Amino acid sequence: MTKNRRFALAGNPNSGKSTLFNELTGLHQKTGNLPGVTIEKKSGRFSYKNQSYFIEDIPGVYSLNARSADEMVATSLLLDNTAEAPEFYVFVADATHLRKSLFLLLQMQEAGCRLILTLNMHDLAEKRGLQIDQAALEEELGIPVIPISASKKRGIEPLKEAIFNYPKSDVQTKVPVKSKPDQLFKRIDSILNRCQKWEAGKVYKRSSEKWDRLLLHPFWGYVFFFIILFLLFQAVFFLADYPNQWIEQFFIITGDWFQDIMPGGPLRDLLVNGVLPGLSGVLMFLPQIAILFFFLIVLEDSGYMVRATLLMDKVMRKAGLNGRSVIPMISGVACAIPAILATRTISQPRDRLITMFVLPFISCSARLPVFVLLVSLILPDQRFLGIFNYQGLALSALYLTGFLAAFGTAWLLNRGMKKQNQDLFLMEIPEYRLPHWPVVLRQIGNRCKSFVSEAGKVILGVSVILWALSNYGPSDFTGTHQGETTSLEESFAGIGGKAIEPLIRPLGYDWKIGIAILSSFAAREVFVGSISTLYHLENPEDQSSILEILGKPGGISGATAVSLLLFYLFALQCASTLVVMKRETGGWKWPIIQFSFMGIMAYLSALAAYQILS
Amino acid sequence: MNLADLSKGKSAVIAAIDEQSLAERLQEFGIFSGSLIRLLGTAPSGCPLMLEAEGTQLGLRKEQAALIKISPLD
Repeated sequence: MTKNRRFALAGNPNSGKSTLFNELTGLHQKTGNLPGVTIEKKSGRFSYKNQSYFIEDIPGVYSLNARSADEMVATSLLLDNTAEAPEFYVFVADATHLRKSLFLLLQMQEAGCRLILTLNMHDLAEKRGLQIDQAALEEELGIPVIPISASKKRGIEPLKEAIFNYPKSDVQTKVPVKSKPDQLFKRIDSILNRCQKWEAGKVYKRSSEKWDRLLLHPFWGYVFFFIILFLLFQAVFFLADYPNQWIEQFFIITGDWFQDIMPGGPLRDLLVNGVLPGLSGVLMFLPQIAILFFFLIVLEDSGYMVRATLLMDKVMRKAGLNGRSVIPMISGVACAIPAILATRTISQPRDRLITMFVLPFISCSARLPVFVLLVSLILPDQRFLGIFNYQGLALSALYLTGFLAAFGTAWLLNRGMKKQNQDLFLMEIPEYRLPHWPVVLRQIGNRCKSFVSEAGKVILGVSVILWALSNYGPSDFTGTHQGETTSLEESFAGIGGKAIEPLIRPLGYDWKIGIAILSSFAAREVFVGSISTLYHLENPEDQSSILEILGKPGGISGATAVSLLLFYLFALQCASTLVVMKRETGGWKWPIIQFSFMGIMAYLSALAAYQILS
Repeated sequence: MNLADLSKGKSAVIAAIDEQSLAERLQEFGIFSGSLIRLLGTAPSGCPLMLEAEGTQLGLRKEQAALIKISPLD
């Protein structure tokens, strides 16, 4: 096999690049972050006729004139002049909107990019009565033109053949684009005049308009927006319930099994009371996370997210935010880190800073495990009026409180900070499109994988360290050991928890919860693993589920659970968020202010709740 | 007359765009002076506006739409 050839996929947003990428690479793809700039970067590989290819998927843009941070990343990849640059670009154009695609294509061509043009959704264009003369287009542009339909897997072989036959070249010179847009469009219109014909009598009317009359309606539009959000939270609870129970049962059975077959000792203890509860703490939440991402990806891919942005712009601006803050805010429900990165589309620095500052108030998926555990402890798994699950309602209320805290804080910051000129707010409204399910599934798979590997490592590590700190204490080293094993209270963890007990006692927390809170500063979801490890350690013989243990006397009372819910709702217990904030704001100032502000708010509201309820 | 004055469902021709960065952004979608533009609707309280021009649908805030001069079709 010969040397890898490298090429990249380029095109406008919504042109179907990801679908083609998925079609070409199949299983051989990975999603990673570019060092330093951290925007999602997808790369993959495939081989054809004994030649292997390395593909990069470049985020979609409309032109080479970048304005916001995310566009700059994309254009720097398109204009890459280094030895690392792709050998050529496969340009994915939406055949139904060729005029717009050709603008970027001509700019890239002028800049010196070597190109293959694919006309995606070619079948759809034909169905609408639009005929594109492929040969004439090739002649006009001087590059290969391949009609494809990525979602229907049509034209993929001819495309691979064109890639295979594409001449090799080591020369990479890219030059600045000099042509003005009106000159380029003059050329585009003359090209289209020759190459594109509408079938007589066929007038295409966007089907999106019918939907938009409802979904962008001044009243019903909002009703739908909130119904969608509500369904999302209900689904996270309902649908995830069964797989959650299976996973929990599996770990209980596995724990019992190891308890029976292994000889007693520190190793069995580490496995049964440290590793297994920690692992189950990670995997238990996979179903919820998968469902959440499913909703977010479908909303994004179907074109609804843009509508939500338009609907919410006015409301968001009242709070000092921006319509473009909506997508980060909704993504924040999954995780604050991608959400902070998503604020790069906000070109106004002030609006962007406010959005980033308030994002960690939005309840992320890491809080979900904590919420699920505590809510299940205080509310029955029953339905109210036969429809609404009580726990689902409580969860919706928690998320709503998070949103309100975010808006309130944004409003305060907006009053306190100097005003700036208006941001240019101009968004393309794409046509509604049915999401391409293989791409959706692949994305969910990628997210789940990174949750398990990244969060999982932290949680598992913390569980094991916690087990060690809970099983050994100073007495193990000074020789003043009493009896067989160190009790939890005498252990290092116990001593640490006891030390902070005076501070957290007014919130209704004992030293065990103190340990769990300390351990979850690495990541919030660690709380669940820690709590289950700690309570299992205290009653090693009790193999009932963690919920049953916590529900017993000596577990967590209702007032304490509410206080904990508020604490976790507001506190910024996420080291990764702080690190990303530091990088995005260029210093420790904002992350420190953010951490202190949220910490004080968490402490005071937890204090108030416990004092009132107990 | 400017774009913010256009009533729902009506079309007009863009006469001038008074702001450079807005004009540049619209040009990327192939929208220039002389392009036909139609108001599809607005969010409640009239902002943002949803427009269609040159086969593209766009969302634009009212204060920016006010910078686009139009001549109405009779």
